[in-house]
Amino acid sequence: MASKLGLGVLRAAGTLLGLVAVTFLLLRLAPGDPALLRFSSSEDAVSAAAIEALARFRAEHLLDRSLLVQFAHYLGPFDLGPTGHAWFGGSGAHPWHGLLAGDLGHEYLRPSVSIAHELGARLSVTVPLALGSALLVFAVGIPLGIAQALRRGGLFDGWTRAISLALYSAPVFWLALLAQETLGPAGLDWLPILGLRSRGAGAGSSADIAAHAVLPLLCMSCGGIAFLSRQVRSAVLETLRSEFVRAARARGLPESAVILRHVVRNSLAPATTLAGQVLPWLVGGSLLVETVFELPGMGKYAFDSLQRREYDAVAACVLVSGVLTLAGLWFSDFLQARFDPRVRDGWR
Amino acid sequence: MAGAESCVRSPGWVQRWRARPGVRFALVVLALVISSAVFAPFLASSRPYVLVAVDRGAYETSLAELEPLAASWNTRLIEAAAARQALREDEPATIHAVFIAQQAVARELRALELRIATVRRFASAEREVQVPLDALELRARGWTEKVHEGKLDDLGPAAELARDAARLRETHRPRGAQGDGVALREQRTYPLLADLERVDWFAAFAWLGVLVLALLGAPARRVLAWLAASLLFAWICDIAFRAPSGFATREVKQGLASGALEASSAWFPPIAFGRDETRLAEAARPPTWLEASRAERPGSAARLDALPGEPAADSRWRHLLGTDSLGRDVLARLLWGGRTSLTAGALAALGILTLGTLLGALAGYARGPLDALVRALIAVLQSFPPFFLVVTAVAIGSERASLSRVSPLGWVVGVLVVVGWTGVARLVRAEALRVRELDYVVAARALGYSVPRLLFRHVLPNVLAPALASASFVALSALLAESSVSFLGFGVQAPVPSWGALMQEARGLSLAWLVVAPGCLIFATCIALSWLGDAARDALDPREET
Repeated sequence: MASKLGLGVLRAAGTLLGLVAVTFLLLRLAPGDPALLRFSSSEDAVSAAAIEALARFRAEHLLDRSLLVQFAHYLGPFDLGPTGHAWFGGSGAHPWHGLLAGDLGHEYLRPSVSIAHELGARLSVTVPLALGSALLVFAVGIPLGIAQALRRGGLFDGWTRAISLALYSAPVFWLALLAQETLGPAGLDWLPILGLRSRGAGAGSSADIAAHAVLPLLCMSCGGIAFLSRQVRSAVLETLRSEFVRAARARGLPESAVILRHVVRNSLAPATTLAGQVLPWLVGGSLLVETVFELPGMGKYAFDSLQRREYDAVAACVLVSGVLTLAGLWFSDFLQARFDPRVRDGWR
Repeated sequence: MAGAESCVRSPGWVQRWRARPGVRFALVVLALVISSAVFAPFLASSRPYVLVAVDRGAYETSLAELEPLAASWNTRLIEAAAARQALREDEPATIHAVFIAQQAVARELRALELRIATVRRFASAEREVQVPLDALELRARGWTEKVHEGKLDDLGPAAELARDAARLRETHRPRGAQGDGVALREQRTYPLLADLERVDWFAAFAWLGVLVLALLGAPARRVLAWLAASLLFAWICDIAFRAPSGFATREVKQGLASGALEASSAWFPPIAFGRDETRLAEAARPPTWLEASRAERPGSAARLDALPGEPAADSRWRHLLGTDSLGRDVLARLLWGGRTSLTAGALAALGILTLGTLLGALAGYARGPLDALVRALIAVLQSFPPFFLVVTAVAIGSERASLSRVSPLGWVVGVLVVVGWTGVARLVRAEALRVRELDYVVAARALGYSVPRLLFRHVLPNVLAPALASASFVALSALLAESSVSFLGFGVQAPVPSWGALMQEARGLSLAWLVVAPGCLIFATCIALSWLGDAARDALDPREET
């Protein structure tokens, strides 16, 4: 058991390292180097001082060293630069740097803004949004899937399946734009469509924020609901065909007990697996939804940073989204291990 | 025995898939959407299919330019002679100067010949009209030869040429109201067809053939043969409809309106607006069949002049889907945009299926370190939200791609493939793990067949089913991803339209018609695709019956 746990931790650490490596390589996809980006404003007046500053910037950020050294520097926790840790030939003024030191760097264009700090503020919008829509997805998707499977072939099943197929196929941003057109001030004027809080009286109250969150939540959830209900439906159908359900019925158990204790419980295993898959969907969707609804979350931050070419901030967003996803996957593994005795006791 | 079963399974599930309810309908929807994209250049263009016209503007310009060209050629010659006299004969600088002069003279002569050809094309075929042109052209051609041979001194009195050209300008004036001058003759051209690329022809022929053959239920070999044939057709058409030189077919509508082109007949396509044709007077106009489009601008019908070939300015049929913020026709852009979006979806799906199947089958069959590597890659790639990764990779990398002259569309497709292959690979790997233990594979291995043979003849054909069944979901997510990326403004760049990019233009302007139409097309395509995917999944799993 201990060795299995150790193996799991090792594998998780490897995946995390791969995550960081992919992010780092993504950063290196950008043309030119960040130094030129930083100093691009002084390009038309190339003076000796500017070239000097460029060289100093390069040396400070190790842009003149090999890719491997840069990666080690990026990963941390030691600063490998000239003023870095004494172990690596630095002066020891700034010994710590990089991800492992919890340092995501600063924006290029606004050097006073710490990316980690900014990201933390943004996550306080994105995480509740993602968790809320995850809750919505599960609260609607699972009962819907079960109900569809139990009334399979009926009118309810047909219609809800058609609707969920439509929701699954509709682009998120299209739904969001349509909702803005019809429910926003241009249409019925039922709900606010931009931002997280309105200006003026009553701004920032929980009712105000809730009203602003309705459309983003709905837009983010409907694809997930469609996806999850389809999976749950086929899982329940699969379980209904199995021998132990027939046996339970043969024993004369009441139908409600058969459904609740035997069918639903056994069909929820795939649903817990999907808990992990729904999260990346939601985090990815936040990029679109937050951009359309102008919410100051991580997705919007990533979008703005891409437009401003703040690639360090972009990388941080990608990394955090990856970590969130991994956390979701591990959580679903944990759920499965907790609730499915076959997994818990190592039968599967 | 199990192997035999596995072999007969693959045709079986395709049959079952085809017979499922709604599959035919979904296929028809998909075929319609693809057709609209494939035939977009034939349906929406600012150029007519057939134009029988006199390019009066080109004729007059060419005629007017004859004399200056001849004269400038003369001065070049004098320059060259001066350069030769100033320097010694065998110095490198002299040789260089003479070479430069020679090039310049040849260029001027070529331009002169082109102008003469244009004049000759439109001037009437009468003898007294054509003979002076012939004489001029013959002389120019003779001199060209001499220049190419390097006999610059031997050219004779060049001023004569300029004099002849000046005389031509008088005698060959186009016939005006008084009835003097030369009668002009019309030329038949195919501006729309001449402007098509060979790819457009190929796509049109190939798609037409595939449609017909699919309706007839032809075997795959015949479809392939047709694809090869359409390559040939495309080549022939590309040659056959090339525009004759000296005919300005670029802006036919403007030419017709200004009188530079005098047409006796012009046959325009049903949507007589080009992909990028801007008209600021008509910016952000709602669909013209709506009352709003009329009521909003009562005086606009007078101010806005419809160009020849277009529906009238106040016609219901003018812009069926309205115009965007630059006055471009949305319907035309929608048809053209489908080419981008569907190409991205189809190519990405093809790439993902190929890469995913190959890697998955290899990993599942070979096991060992290769399998570990592939699994690690899958684990890492799947721990990112795929869309996040795609957007950032496209946005960051597209600059570098444009520096190295990769097309933006190609870059998007590449990113989609690299990020998206993991799902298919997982499916195929699981299947390959099962298949490699089946009797017929074990037997083939015992017979000592080579690994490629085992892989391609025994394993791959039998692990393809899950990959093929997931194909339409893969295409769906690729299409959605491309649209989303374009919607954020990072994919293909303006003025190339794509469905997502069209919706991006509507953001912040609240042009509802720009949101609805492209979204509906994406929606219809995706519904058809997911219906097909659902049916394929059900067909693969015989226990699931609805």
